[in-house]
Amino acid sequence: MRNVLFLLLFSLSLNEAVSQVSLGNGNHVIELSGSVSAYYNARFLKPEETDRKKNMFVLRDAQIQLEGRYKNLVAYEIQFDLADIASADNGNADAENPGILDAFVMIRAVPHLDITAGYAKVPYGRSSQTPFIYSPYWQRAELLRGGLFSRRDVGLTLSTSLWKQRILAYAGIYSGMGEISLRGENDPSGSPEFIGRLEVAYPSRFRHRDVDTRHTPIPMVVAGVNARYTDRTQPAGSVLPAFAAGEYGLKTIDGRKLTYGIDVAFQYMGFSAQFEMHRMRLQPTSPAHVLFQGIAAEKHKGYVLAGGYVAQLNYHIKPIDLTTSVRFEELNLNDLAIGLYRAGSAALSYTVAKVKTTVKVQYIHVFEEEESINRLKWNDQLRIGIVYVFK
Amino acid sequence: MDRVQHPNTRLIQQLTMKARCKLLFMMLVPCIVQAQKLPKPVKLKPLSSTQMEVKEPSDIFHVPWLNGLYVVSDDGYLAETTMDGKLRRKADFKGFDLEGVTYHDGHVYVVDEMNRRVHSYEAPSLKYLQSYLVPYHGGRNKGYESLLFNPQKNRFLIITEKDPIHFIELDSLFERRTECEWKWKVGDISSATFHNGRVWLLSDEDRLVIECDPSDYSVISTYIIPVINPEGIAFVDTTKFVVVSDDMQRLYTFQLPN
Repeated sequence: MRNVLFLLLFSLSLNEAVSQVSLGNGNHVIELSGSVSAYYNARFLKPEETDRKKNMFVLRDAQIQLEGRYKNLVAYEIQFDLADIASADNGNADAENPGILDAFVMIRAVPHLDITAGYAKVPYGRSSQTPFIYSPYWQRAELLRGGLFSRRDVGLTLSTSLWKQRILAYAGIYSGMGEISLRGENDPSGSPEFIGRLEVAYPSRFRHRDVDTRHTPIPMVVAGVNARYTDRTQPAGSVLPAFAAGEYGLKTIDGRKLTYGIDVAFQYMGFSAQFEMHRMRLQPTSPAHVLFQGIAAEKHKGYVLAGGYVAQLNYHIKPIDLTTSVRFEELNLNDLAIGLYRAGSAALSYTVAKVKTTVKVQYIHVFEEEESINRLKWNDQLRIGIVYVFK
Repeated sequence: MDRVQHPNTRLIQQLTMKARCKLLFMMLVPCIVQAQKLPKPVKLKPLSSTQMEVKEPSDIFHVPWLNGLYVVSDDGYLAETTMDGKLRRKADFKGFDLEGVTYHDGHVYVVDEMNRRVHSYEAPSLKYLQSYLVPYHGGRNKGYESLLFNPQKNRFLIITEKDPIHFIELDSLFERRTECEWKWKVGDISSATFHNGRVWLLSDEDRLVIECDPSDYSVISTYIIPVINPEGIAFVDTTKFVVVSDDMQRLYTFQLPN
């Protein structure tokens, strides 16, 4: 095994890179890029557990991205992941790997206003806006993976920038079904979801990246606030479509859901940090909804709270293009249930610039889990693998 | 049946652990070794800075006879400003994503990154004359970032931003004459200018000003500048130069050490 890894690293250092390519006729330019990533996953099970099926090699990404522009008027993007499509679970969609990642058109119809229509990332949460391909981790924090609120949806987004792009503002209306909107189904309520986000950066615009690979010479900070609301109260006798509730039964509910959050990011001379916090207020229509955990109506008062926070610190060593990172997250899936999920991660990524290939290692340790809702079979997990990008 | 081993696997197995570590170290730090070939970059501090009235400025050219600057913008226009960044006028013609500007023989030339064209304008009127197509199939946003006229070779020089950094020499009709990949270890090239018998390059990602020999573009010296997103460089006298920051929309003045 050591010899294989050694040979792999050695061969990576010898090959020449392939970069993205474009075709154009003067007014219209189309660009092709993509990535492939694979890792080995090793789970360290709890003593009583014996199922080691998750100790395996995983093809995480086989992404193709087509990005185009017509003059300065129209931009479009189609991005899909063949690895996700091949592993699609009978119509279910993994929020972090939904198969189709982007399929949208952005029109700059009027000055200072972009209109985006189609399936794309929704403007909620800083982490969600940040391309994961540049992250030193193999997996987003549990809070931000898309199990609690959708990361992508079909809809319409209006966006603008002010003050030399230091202020970015977004507002949009979406199907509210998130990643499973790709199945073309809506729930019987027919209600949309509304999302708004505002972020302010200083002293200059702050790109959506976790790691300060440029070693910014002046401290830079950005802060964002966002909120989303949907009322999906079902007509009598109707139920939500399959998979709509998501992994924790929180993503879409029969009732009202308000989610709001803040985020802050900082970078200076290779150091960077991100903090993100989200809270959800869920008001199921039925007083006997499973989210109420069987607690009497006068005690739960008709609502459930959920949410958490993620804090991440990174340092990039420029001469060898090595990133080190640590992350801590806390997640409360239901304030009526006892317990919290608390986990820490450490990650290392080394990029061989010549071949655009990154070797990434991530170690996760679960300090505490919300056992009554989400009992895990493991306490520690290691992922090691490579990411090849032609971007 | 005997198991057949790949010859490279056997070779690795024959190495001692110490030898393997040495080889791994050599693989991981080639850039450090490369960086040591040149003297350490000199750190410079700005003498002053001023706000620019041109939105998203992406390159500048000093025009001594107008006591001003030609400035191009990501928004697609060419403008003339005062030395302290005040807008004097804009050219009528609008491109898409202008990234490099230079002057030669009574004309202003700008390079348009998105549609791979060089536009020429009459100076000093800034009347649009014509465009030249210079095809390039690299990344849409990693294309032409820099344009200069190299009098030593009597050629225009266009430089691509990154992945890879290409130096393309062109004649007066913007026909390709030579093309080579620049192998010097730097993240990108965001601007270039000719001054005092040297080619001066600017790197946005590394915040470096790089002095090069105009005959073979070998590196002579380097300077680090503390500017966010530096996109344009122009010399205003023998040792004084200005750098424009796109994100900050500011013009910074620096002095080279003696």
